[in-house]
Amino acid sequence: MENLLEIKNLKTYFYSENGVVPAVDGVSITIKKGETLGIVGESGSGKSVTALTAMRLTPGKVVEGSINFNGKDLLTLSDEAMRKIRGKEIAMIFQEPMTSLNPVFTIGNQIAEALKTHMNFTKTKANERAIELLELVGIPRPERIVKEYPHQLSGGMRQRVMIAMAMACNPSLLIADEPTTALDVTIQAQILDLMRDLKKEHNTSILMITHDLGVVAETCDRVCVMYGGKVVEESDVHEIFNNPKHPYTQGLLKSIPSLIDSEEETRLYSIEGNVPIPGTLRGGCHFAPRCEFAMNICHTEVPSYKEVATGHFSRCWLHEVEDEEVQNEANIS
Amino acid sequence: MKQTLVEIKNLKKYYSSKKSVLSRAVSHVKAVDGLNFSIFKGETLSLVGESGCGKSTTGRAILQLQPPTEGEVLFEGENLVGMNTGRMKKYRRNMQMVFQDPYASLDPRLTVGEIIAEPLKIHKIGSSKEKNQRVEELLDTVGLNSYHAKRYPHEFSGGQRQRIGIARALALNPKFIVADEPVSALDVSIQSQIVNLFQDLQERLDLTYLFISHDLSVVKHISDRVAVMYLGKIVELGDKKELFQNPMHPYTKALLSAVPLPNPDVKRERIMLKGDVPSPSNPPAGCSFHPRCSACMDICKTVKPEFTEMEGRFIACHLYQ
Repeated sequence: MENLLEIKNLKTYFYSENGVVPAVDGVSITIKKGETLGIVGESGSGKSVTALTAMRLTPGKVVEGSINFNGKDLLTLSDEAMRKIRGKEIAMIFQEPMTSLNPVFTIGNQIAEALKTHMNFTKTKANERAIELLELVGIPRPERIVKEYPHQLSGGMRQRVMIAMAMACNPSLLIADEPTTALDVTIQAQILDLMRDLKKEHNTSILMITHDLGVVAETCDRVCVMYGGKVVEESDVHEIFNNPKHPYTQGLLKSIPSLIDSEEETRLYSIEGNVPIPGTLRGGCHFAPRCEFAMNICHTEVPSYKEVATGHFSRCWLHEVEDEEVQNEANIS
Repeated sequence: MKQTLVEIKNLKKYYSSKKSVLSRAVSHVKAVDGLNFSIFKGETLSLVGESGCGKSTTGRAILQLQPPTEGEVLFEGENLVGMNTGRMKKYRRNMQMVFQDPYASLDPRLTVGEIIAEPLKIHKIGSSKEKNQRVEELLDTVGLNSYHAKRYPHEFSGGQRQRIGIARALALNPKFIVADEPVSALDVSIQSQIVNLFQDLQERLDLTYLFISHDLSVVKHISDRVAVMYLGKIVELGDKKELFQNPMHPYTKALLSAVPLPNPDVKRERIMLKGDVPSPSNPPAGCSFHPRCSACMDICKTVKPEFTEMEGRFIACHLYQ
């Protein structure tokens, strides 16, 4: 499969009074056509900034790296050319459907805006298409909803409107930043179902940013785990859940209580310490202060990003140690 | 025999609003509409449900933070509803609350020590030296250090702030704690730390919890019994293990099946609910779940189902009557 988006060694830094904050620190990810890539991480891990940088919407400064989308380097495009891509070829769904819709325009107006700008639709044609799109995302009475304002809709309905807006110009890449976090579980199930159907129908690639491992397991083909501005592990979804290699991924998976196991656990596994605040991290592996396997080298030097199995990458000094052991054994025998 | 600590009888909380400034007609939002249940000593009872179902209002109405419209709350046999302020203050020592948002529930102008000592100050317990000692003890109990007492809330992370909120709730040695979504605002790796802390404290201090949450996997881990709420009513209440293994009410079934599992190899049959939760100001007639229910019968549209007991399980559904 062809790569649709290639982010290479991206570094987005924020410059504040208190010094430099490396929010994204050397991230490389690729998304193939028709694939759903999940980015998992806790607050401050840099997952949202990575996505916003790809849309060129971050206030931070891109210090290094390239973003290749369909053969174009998005970081060197003119503002004019970028505006043509944004909303047309790459669309985004935000976390808070309450705050990301404009309260003073009707739903129809907001969907039609993208159609008029990017597709040169006339007002009537754009309005017709808006109704079609609302129908596509499963909104009842679309001809009435187009005339309504965001405050008249429930949270789930607003998120459907956001999806309709994002899908208006049939984008080839959809970036969904925590699309269901603000929603209830039964509504979340509806929205995830809808996104899956749309992906199947239009072969859209999706970049799914979330902290919910359940959502990842259900929707993604491949997963990147981020910690402290770096990708620490990447693999296809089955490998990540069945055979996680990085201690952070392992800890994360162990710390969520299971809904289907009937056996009683009395205590949950928990990762010691706190989620690091961006800008306070020093050299070495960023997870080392919380890692139960941390060695001396972990605190001083950054581990390399290694392919531990086909298509399965992990950034941890343990893999180097394992390799050495294997080699020593080979030498002895 | 299990001892009842809190008994709730026909608890109702309505919010009324006038349709317009001049009109006489008053409409009611029935946030909590007739709850009956008991909380046993030493157990964790969880209230689960979607936003707007009335689970937080229930917690606040039990603690009399919002006076109930109707009904009784019996704490160790004594009715709290309508109790005068002086006597209520005495009872408040026994019941405390942990709030959802650790960023909004701590006063930014007080030091952590002052925040934790505030309940002691209000109830005039101990000299200042004793208070300081108690604060140190409490910080230690929740896994923080005594030097943290001199710092301000903004210097702490979300998980640490939630620990401070828990220390404050423990200051008066309560018997009963209402925890309203205490882990929802926290990161995954921090959530499990706080869940463990709740369980350790329960064991050590013999606490009883009403645990309000929408996260079903956390609820399954921490509870002894679970009550499922929908539009101001409890639709099902039962032993945790049995309820999760064999949900009976169609809403409980749908709710459990909607949770995405963190395992890509397990494929489950999902019961998709159509539409949104109806507004509590204008709930459907009969069973309020009937417009979204897959097993809806004619009777469901007109007659409200009774909340009845069946082999230790309480359920409000016509299918089982």
